[in-house]
Amino acid sequence: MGFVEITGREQVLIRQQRLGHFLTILLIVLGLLYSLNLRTGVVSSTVPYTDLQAGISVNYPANWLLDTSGDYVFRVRDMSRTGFKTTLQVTLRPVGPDMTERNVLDSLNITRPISLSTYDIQSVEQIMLTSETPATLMRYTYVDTETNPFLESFPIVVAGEDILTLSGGQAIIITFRADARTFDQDRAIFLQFLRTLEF
Amino acid sequence: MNKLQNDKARRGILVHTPKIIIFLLFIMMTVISPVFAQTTTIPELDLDRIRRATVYVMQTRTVGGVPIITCVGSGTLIDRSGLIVTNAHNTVTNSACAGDSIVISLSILPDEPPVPSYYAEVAQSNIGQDLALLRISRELNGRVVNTDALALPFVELGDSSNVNLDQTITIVGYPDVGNSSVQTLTGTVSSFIAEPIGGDRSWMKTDTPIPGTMTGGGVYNQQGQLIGIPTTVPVRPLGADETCLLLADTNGDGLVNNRDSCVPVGGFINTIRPSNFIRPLQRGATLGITLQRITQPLVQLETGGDPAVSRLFIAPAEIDGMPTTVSGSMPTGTNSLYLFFDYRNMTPDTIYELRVTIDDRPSPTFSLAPVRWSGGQNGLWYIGSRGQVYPNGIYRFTLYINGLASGSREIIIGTPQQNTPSFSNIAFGIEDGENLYGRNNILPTGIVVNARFIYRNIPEGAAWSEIWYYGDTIIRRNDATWTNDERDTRILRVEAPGGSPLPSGRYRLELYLDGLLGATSDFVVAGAREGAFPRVFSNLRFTSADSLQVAVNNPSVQTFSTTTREIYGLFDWEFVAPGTLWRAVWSVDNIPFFDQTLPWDNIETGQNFAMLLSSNDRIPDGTYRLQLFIGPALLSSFEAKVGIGQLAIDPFAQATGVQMNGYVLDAETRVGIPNVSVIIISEDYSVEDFEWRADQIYTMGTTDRNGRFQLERPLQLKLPYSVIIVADGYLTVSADGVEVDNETENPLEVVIVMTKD
Amino acid sequence: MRYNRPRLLTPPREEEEIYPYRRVWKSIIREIGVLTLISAGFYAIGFVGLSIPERLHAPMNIALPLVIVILWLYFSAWKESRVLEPRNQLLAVMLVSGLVANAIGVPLINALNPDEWLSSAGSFERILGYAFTIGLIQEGLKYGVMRVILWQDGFRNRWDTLAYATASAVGYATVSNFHLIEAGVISPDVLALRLYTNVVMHYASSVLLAYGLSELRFNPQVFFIMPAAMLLSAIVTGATISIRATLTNSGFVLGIGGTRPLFGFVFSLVLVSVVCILTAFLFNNAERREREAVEGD
Repeated sequence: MGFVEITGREQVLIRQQRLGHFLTILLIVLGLLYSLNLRTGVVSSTVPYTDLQAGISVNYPANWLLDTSGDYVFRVRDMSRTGFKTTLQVTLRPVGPDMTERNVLDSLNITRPISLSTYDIQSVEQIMLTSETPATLMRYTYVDTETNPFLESFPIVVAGEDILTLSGGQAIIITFRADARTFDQDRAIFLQFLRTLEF
Repeated sequence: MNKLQNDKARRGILVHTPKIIIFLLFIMMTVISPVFAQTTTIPELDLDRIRRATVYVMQTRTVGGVPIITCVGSGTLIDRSGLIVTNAHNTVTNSACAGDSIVISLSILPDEPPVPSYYAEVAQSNIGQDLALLRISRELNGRVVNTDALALPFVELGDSSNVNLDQTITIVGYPDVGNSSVQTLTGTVSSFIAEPIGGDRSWMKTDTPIPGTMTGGGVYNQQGQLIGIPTTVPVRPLGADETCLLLADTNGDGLVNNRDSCVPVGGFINTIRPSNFIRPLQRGATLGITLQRITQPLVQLETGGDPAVSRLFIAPAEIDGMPTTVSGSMPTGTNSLYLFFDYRNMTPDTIYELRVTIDDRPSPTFSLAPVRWSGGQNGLWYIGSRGQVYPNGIYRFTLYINGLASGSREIIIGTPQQNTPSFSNIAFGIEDGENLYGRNNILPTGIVVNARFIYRNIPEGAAWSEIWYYGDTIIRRNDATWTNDERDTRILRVEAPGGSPLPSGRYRLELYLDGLLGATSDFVVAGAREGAFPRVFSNLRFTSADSLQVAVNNPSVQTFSTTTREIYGLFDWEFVAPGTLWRAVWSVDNIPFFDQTLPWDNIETGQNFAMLLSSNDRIPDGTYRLQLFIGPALLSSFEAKVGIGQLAIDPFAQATGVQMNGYVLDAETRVGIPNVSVIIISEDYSVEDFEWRADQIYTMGTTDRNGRFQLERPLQLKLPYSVIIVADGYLTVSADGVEVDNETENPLEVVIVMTKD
Repeated sequence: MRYNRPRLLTPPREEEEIYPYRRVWKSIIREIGVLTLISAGFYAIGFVGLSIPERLHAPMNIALPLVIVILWLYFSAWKESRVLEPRNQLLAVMLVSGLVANAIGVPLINALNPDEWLSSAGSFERILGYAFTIGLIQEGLKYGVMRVILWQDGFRNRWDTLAYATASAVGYATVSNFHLIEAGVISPDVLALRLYTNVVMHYASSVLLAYGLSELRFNPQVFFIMPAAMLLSAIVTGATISIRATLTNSGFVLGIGGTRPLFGFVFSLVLVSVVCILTAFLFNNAERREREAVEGD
C-alpha cells in the first residue's frame, strides 16, 4: 500500500482550500438557520377555525386538540405536553347594558375559586387589544389537581391570562393557561393566537 | 393364513381400540371444544370495575366542629359524573340517622380499605323504597367538583325483571365500618317477594347472608349489571351492641361509652331491592329538572298515632291488590301465598319486618328483613310470593313494626285436597238501571253498588254474613242462612239511604262464613260517570307560562320549544274524597322520573290542580307524560314533546366492555412518564384521518406520576379503534384497528413503551 | 574477515518495507468489532431475561462510556505510539473535542431541543431537522477542532484525517454519552446498546468528515467536497437518530409492549459498515488517483 506524504510546517492555504473552508462554515451557518426556520415551521404551524354563529375566526396551533362541546365557544389544548396541557380558550358571556368589564371579571373571580384550587389573582391591567379595542388583562394562578381519584398525581401550578373585552352585547373572554414553568415560553403561542383572532 | 391374519388384525384392532378411542376423543375435543367455547362465551364479569365503582358511604354530623359518623353503608356509582345509588335510611336525614353531610370513600387500591374522597348530596330519594341517589358535589377540602370532568368507574343498571330463581348473583359492598376492603360474595336468588308497590318482584331474596354494612351496595348478574341493592334498615337498639357500634365520643365527655350515640350497622341482610326501582330516580337525577306541587293542600288529613297492623289473613292469590279469597289452610304443592293486613299511621320511616316460622323453625326464605314502609298512611297491604313451592308445615307469619311484634297469623300447608266451602273473587260495579259500571275497583258515583262473588261448596243452611264499610264505618250488615241456587255466583248490593248517591271514598265488603272471614275486597268511589267509566281526573294538560295565573288560562300545548324552562301540568278533578290514595307518574321517553302515591288532600271537586316541571337551564328534549292513577287504574294521561321529542343519547352511559388501564413507560429508563395523553380515536376514524378534534375521540386517559392511566370509558367489543399516544420528546405511538373481544382479558392491562430520539 | 554471501537456490528475499504509520482502518474495525461484541453481550443478557443487580447499575453505567475510551486508547492511541511515525496529537484532538462538545455542543443542542419539537414531525422533516441541528453542530465542532489544531501540520497523509476524525468522534461521543447517563437512570443492558448506537453514529459521520478534510487538504481543486462531506455527515447523523428511534419504537400492542433494541443495534452496525466501506473505497480511490498523478509526473 502506497502513501503520499506532504511535509513542511507552514501550510499555506490556497484559494480553493479557503473557499472549501468558507463553504463549509457557510453550510453550517445556513443549516442552523434552516433548522431554526424548520423549528418555527413545526412549532408555529396553525389551523384555521371559524365559528360563524359566535362570529369568531382564528388560527390555532396545529395538532392541538379542538373542543367546542363545553361551556366555551372554542378550546384547544396541546395534548403532547407532559405537564399541564397548554390551553387556549374563547368564551362568550352575555352582558347587560349596565355591565362593565370589571363586573364580568368580578363574576369570574367569584366563581373560579369554587372550582379552581388556590386561585390567586396576580394582576389586572387595561390594555388595547387593537387600536380601537380596549380590553382588560388579568393574570392569575391556580393549582391543577388530578380529577381521577384512582391515580396519583402531583398538583401542577398553572398560570393563566384572561383578556376580556365587551363587544356586541357580550363579553369575550380569551383565556390562555399553561404550566407556570413554561408559561413565559408558551406565551408566544398565545400572542400569535391573539394576532389571528377576529371577532 | 388368512384366518391368522384376520385374527391378528382383529387382535390389533382390539389392542388399539382404547388408543383409537382416546385419539378420536382427543380429535373431537380439540375440534369441538373451541366451537363450544366460542358459542357459550359470555362477557366476563368485570369485578375490578365493580369493586372500584363500589363506594363506602358515611353520614356525618358536626359536633363541636368535629365530624361524627352517624350512619354507614355501601353504595355504587352508576354514572361517570358521580351519581351513587344507595339506601335512603342511612343517607337522607332522619331521626335514626341525623347527620348533615355525606362522605364518600372510594376503593382506591383493590385490597385496601376505602379512602374518604368526596362529599355528596342527595339528588333523589324514595324514603319508603329506601333508595337514594347521591351526587358527588365537593372535594373533602370543600372545593366544588366539576362533575363534567369526572370520569369515575361506574356500573350499568340491569333489568331486574329478567332475574330468575336460582340465578347466580354477585354481591359487593363493605363488610364493616370502613376497616376492610370491598368484599365480594357469591350467592343465588332464593325467592321473590310480592308487595303492592312493585308487584311480584318487590324484593329479591338470597340465601347468602350479607353483612349489614353492605346495605346499599350492589348485586350483580353475570354480565356485571347492577340488578339490585341489598337493603335492610337496622332497628336502633337501646344501647350499643353488635348491631350498633360506638365509633366516636359523640357527647364530648372525653370518653367513648354507652352514653355516646352508636352507629347502627344491623344484622345480616338477605333482602334485595330490585334495580328497576332505581330507574325513575336515576332518570330524575340526570334530567336536571325539578318537579313542584303548586296546588297546596286544602284539607288537613288525620295524622299521628302509632303505626299498627290489623286483620291479618292469608290469601292464595291477589288480583289488583285485592285477595281472591281467605284461606285457613292450603293443599300440598301450594306455590302462591299472600299475607294481607290493614295498616294505619304508617310513614316512610316506619320499619316493618315479617318473620315466618315453619313448624316453629325460622324460615329465612319466606321472611322479610327489617325494611322501610313503602306504602301510604292507611290501607290494605300484602306480602307474598308466587311461583315458589311452600313446603308442608304449620306456618306462622308475624309482623314486627318498629321492632315490636304487631300481629301474627297461622296457616297449615299440606292439607289434603278437599271441597272446602269458599267465597272468592269479589267484583264491584255501580248499578244504573240494568248496567254495572266501574273499572278495577274504582267506581263512579252512583246510587247503588253491586258486588258479585263466586261461591263453592257452601252447605245449605250455613250461617253467613255480608258487612259493608265506608271507611271504617259499617254501613250495611246482613246475617243470613245460606241457600244454594243454580248459579255459582251471587250478587249483593248496597245503597245510600234516601236514594242519594253513595259518597265518594274508600269502601270495603267482607263476607263471613260460619263467623270466619271468607272473602273481602275494597273499592273506591270517585269521579262522575262518563260512559262506562268514572271520570275522576279530567282536562289534563300541559302548558307553559310565567305564572300559574297565566298558565290556567293558556291553551294546552303538545309541542314545546327546545328552550322551554317551565311546564305546568294541570288537571281538574271530581268527587275525590280526602284521604283517597292517588298516584302521579311523570315520565320522559317512557321512563318514569317521578312516581308518588299520596292521599288526596284537597276538596272533593275542583279545577286546575297544578304541578310545575322546571329547570334552571332548559328542560331537556323528550316526550313527557303525566299519568294519574287511583289504585291500579290509569284514569288520565297526557303527553307532550319538548324539542325533538327525544332525550339526547348519552355516549358515556355504557359501562360494559373492556376497561383498558396500563402504564406508559420510557423505553430507556423503564420509568413511567407522567401526564401523557392516551387517546382512543373513534372507530370511524383512523390515525391518518384524525384531525385532533374532540368529537373524533372515543375516550382518553392521562398518566399519573407513575405513568399509570385508566381510560375513561370501556372499549366496546369488535370495534376497530385507533390509538395515538403523544408526549413531547418521545416518538408518537399510534396504531389502527385496535380491537377487543370476548376473549380479551377484562380489565385489560397494557404497557406502552415510548422511545426518545 | 570477509563475509561470503551464501549462494541461494531461490532468489534473495527482498527487504520488506516497514509501514511507518498505524493502520487506521484496522484500528477502527477492531474498536467497532469489540464494541459490537460487548453490546451484543448486553443485548443477550436482556434477551434471556437476566437482570443486572441494581447496585451494579451506577458503576456499570459509568464504566460503559469509559470502555469505549479504553478501547480507543488501546487500539488507536497506544498502537500509535508503537509505530515509526506516530500521530502525536491524537490524544489532544480527542480531549479538545470532548471539551468543545461539553462547552458548546451539548448546551447548544439542549437550547435548540430538537427532540421536543421533532418527535411528532414527519419522517423527512425529522431527518432534516436532526441533520441541521445535532448533525451540523456535532460535525461542525469536530471539523472546527481539527481545522484549528491539525490543519497547519497535522495532516501528513489522507489517513491522518481518518485517525484524527475518529479521535474527535470518540471525544465528542464520550461527552455526549456521559450527558445521556446524567439525563436518567438507565439499566446497563439498555445503556450499552444506546451508547453503541451513539458511538458508531459518530464514527460513521466522522469518517465521512475525514474524507472531506482529506480531499480539501490533498486535492483542493475539488473544493466543494468538504462542504458536501459535511452535509453528508450531518445527514448521516440526522438519519441515524431518526431511523434508529423509529426502528426501535415497537408501537402499540394490546398487552405488554416493548421496544425492539435489536433493530436499532443491527441498523447501527449496518450503517457504520456501509459508511466505512464506502469511505474506504473513496479514500483508496483518491489515493490511487493521487499516486497515478505523481507517477504520471
